[in-house]
Amino acid sequence: MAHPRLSLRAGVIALACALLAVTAAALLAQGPVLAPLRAVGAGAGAIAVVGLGIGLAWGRGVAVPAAVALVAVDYALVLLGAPRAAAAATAAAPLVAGAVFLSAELGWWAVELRRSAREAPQALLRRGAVIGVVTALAVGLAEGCLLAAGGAVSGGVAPTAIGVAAAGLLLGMAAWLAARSAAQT
Amino acid sequence: MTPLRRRSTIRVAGTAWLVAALLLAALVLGLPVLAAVAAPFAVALAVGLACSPTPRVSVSLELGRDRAVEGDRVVATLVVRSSRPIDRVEVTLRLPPAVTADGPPRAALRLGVEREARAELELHCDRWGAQRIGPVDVLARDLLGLVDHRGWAGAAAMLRVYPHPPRLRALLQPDRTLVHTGNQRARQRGEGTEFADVRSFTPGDRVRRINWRVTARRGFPHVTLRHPERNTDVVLFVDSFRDARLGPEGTLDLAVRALAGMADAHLGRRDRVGLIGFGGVLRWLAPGTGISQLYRVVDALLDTEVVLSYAWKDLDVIPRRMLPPSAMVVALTPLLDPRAIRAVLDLAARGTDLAIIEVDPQAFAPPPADRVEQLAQRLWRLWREARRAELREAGIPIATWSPDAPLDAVLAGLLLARRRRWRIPA
Repeated sequence: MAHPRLSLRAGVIALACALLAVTAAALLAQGPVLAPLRAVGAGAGAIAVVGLGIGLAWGRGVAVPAAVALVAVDYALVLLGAPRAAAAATAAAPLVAGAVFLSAELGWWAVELRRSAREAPQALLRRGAVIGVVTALAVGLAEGCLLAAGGAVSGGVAPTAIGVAAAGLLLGMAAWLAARSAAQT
Repeated sequence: MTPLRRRSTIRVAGTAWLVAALLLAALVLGLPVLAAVAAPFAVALAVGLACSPTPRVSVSLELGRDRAVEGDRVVATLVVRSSRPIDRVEVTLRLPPAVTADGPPRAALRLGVEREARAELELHCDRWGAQRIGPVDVLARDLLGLVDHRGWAGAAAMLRVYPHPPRLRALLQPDRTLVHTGNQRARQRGEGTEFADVRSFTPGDRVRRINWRVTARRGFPHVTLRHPERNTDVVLFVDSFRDARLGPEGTLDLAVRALAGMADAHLGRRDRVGLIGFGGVLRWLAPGTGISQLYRVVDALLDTEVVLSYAWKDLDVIPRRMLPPSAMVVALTPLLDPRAIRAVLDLAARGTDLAIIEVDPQAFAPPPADRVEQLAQRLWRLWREARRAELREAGIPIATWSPDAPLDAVLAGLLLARRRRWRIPA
């Protein structure tokens, strides 16, 4: 039978997670952006970092996906830029995916910890370990996706149609989940 | 076991929108790299939603003890069981305002393969009363925090918190005593220990009562008379029509603590103690003696609360046997309700041996914010002074008790006022 000692304050861990998440987002926002898109990318990155910081300080979970989306915009601008920088950014995609995922996970954890009870130290360690493992899996998954994308199937109407259908399905699912969450709240 | 309600967190919608946006951007811009960035989020979402069946949870609440005194700490043990392992379950104990915990009354637990965990919360009893502890709110969450399972479980437990009685050194002396032995000095003369008088010997007097010193001086036999020790009936009368309250403290809290102390002290002197709760709800307890009566009185006091009522009540609603003719009635009232004032005036008119402790509500009045409120409070104080004068005119000794003053001092003042009642002005 478990007899947890509730000693560590969740606030300290939440603050650490928030700082880590903001740092990870800030590092991602430092991408090499070309001159025409530099201002847009820098703006998106800055908004992402500041927004995430403020959102986590207020305990607003919605700040996490918004910041990740803005960082992704920044990253997409890098990919759309000069071929040399784009090639480097593409090569670093698994690491970027892992960093984005880590940032989001830490951000969510920080929001959860703000509202939850005092955690047992072993629970905090376990959650930290889970986040580490899941991030490593995310890096591997992104690498696999990139390998698959660079494989035999390259373009065409059918893959594009499948992709559009999948994205549409996902959008519909997102809207349904959002509506359900709003109704339950 | 109670089934919990499954609810998606905001994280589900946020992650879904993010994945959708990244995939669309990957399609529109022709950048598969963005799909690779979205993939971990999509997989985490799918796995998280698929692997979070709703558990059934039961919680049992055990209190370290079911009776405590104000200021005591009581340990509440929560034993949580579930139908399947849960990575993180958060249990929040519902507490009444009068019972607090160090920090939020919550505990986060993990139910592993044994499917049972236990948490201990230390509760602090801030105020007297019959306090309902529980039930327990349960929030179970999966490892990735995508889905919540909420509900409540467990039955509430009752914790009886007794008032912390003030230590009393002096008590009011009754006008009349009963025939049973006690610790009160009776007004009558008879067999006892305390000296009363000396008078000449009459046939029937016991020889051992002869006062030899006075007999030798006077030349004929004299006997010593003594006051016997008797007990008395004490009826504690608490006015619960209205309560002046500022924050957690109020006049009723003070009254109940004082009554508990007085009941304890009088029962210690072998008096018979009864209780009348005169308010929106009428409660009474016939006079009795002994330690069991103390528990009965305190238990009855715990149920005392202000119940709003507009019904006019007078003494006729009180059972006749509750007010024995020889009883001393000690009334604790904030003098806020005319029904209570009328009742004590009626008691005095019936010739009851009565004393009033006025629990001063002015200490619980908020400070006046402006001139109008200042004037209103002044008028209120004048109205209260007029009520006190009315009670004194009716021959009722009354003493005002402020929360910062010791009850002993108030009782001493009341004792003096009761003695002055019989003094004939020159």
